[in-house]
Amino acid sequence: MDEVTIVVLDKKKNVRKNLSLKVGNEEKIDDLLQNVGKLTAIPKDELEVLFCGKMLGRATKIRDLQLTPATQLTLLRPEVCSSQKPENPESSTTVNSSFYVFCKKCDSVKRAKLRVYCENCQGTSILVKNEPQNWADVLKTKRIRVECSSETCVQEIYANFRFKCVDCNEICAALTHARGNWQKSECCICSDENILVIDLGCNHLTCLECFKLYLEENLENFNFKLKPPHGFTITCPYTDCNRVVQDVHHFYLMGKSKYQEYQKRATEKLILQSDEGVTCPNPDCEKCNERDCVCHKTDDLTRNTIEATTRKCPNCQCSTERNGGCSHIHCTNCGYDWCFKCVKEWTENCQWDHWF
Amino acid sequence: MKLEMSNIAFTRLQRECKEVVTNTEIAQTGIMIEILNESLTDIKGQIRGPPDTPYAGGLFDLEIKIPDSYPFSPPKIKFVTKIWHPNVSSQTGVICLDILKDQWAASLTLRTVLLSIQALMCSPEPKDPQDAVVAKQYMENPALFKSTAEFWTVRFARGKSGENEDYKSRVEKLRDMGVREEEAISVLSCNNWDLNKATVYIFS
Repeated sequence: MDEVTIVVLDKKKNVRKNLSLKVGNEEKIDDLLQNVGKLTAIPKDELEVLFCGKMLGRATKIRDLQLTPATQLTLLRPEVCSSQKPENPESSTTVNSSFYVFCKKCDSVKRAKLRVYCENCQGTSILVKNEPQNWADVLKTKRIRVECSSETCVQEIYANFRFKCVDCNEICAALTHARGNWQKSECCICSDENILVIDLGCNHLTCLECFKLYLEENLENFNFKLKPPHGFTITCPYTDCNRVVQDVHHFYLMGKSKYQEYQKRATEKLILQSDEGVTCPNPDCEKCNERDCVCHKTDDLTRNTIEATTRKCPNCQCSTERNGGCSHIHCTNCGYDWCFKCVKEWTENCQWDHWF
Repeated sequence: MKLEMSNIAFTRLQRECKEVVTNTEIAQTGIMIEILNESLTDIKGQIRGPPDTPYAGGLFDLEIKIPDSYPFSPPKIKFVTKIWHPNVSSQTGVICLDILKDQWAASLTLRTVLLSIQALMCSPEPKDPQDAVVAKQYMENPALFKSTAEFWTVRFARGKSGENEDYKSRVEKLRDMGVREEEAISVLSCNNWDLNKATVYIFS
């Protein structure tokens, strides 16, 4: 990083200056303040640096801020000089944590930096009143209050958090279940110790690669189940674990095109489940809205075959073929247990009387 | 459509096989596997009949087929050795066990699955039977079920305990009529060892 945009807000004289300044990665905030002081004739001790909603310690390294040419640093000179809080010149501030996102631009999982903006003016010259403590604090709005240096923002203002890809700066969806494998645990699928793992909150770790395959495998037969409020989602791959993926953005791990397929199939399934439509055999048909379109006529042979070889689940009406095993059907569409002979709910009588 | 096993599947299977083959603790539980081909898709399993069950002393062979989508789909496992058990088909050896179907999880392994089958041999689940005839006998006439299962263990699973002479003679009678041994045992067992019923069943 060589050039950064700096906004100096001098509340004492009520002036605002924009600067562009060369800074080295190895320099510290203190060095930067010294340089700004030379340019603006403001003593460096009277300036505070606002970044990511925090006041930065003087010893913070520029490198650790992961700045890009688009980033803006705010230097604030308070109206009353803050002599009441003599800051330790050795203190440094960390603004980075281990966040992972799916970057659509890079089409892969990336590390991310967390950035914070004023909800009202979208500016970065803000100071958070309390630090976010959990995912909800950064993912939901109106949880963290800020003090914004902009004149227009005087009321109760809240923070807006954004995750940005460290490589391309794209704003991305956070993968809340992805984390570093700091305990060096084995993946529950391949038993390898990988650096990056998915943890649905149950501590059953799955490495990224296995989780991706797990999703792809389940996409093939669309084993995603509707679990409000999460939408069509999937359980932890570990035996008998019922934790689910709480944010469908994780399905981006399969890549953009498979994610789109997931969306399409989830939509189709939702429509079919709520019995509000039929699947068109020819979705690209231009005449589809016309009455005489082939799509509106069911192919007799297909229908005859389906009717001859299947029975409908008494709960969700899903056409079901029995290709082996006993008469006890567990519907993979809705989860209902029914008897293929009676086409009614499975009972103990079915068990004894007409097993085969 | 995938044509061959994924890399994860292969390395994991290698590790799983090694685990079962080399671990003496596992061997003591009476579980064994044998690799039948290089691509690890065909595996032979063996379970020693658990003590204090009608299967004690028997050695039960299983056919294990690994699908391309392993470990995201369960291995296909069935008994090769004939066994009289409510959750195993007495005809085909197909096993009714939830973890081999919809309760399968990718974290399960060959070892855990074979242990589960062994546990199923100790405590059948007649409420969810694979073989209704066996299940009915198990519920209605436990003593008869036990002696039948023991007879099957001796005849088919190399069990060493003494053979039920009464059952043996009835099997011989059917054999004298030209019925194959396996069919004779099967039909007699299904008819609660009633020779008349079994004869009627076969010849009508």
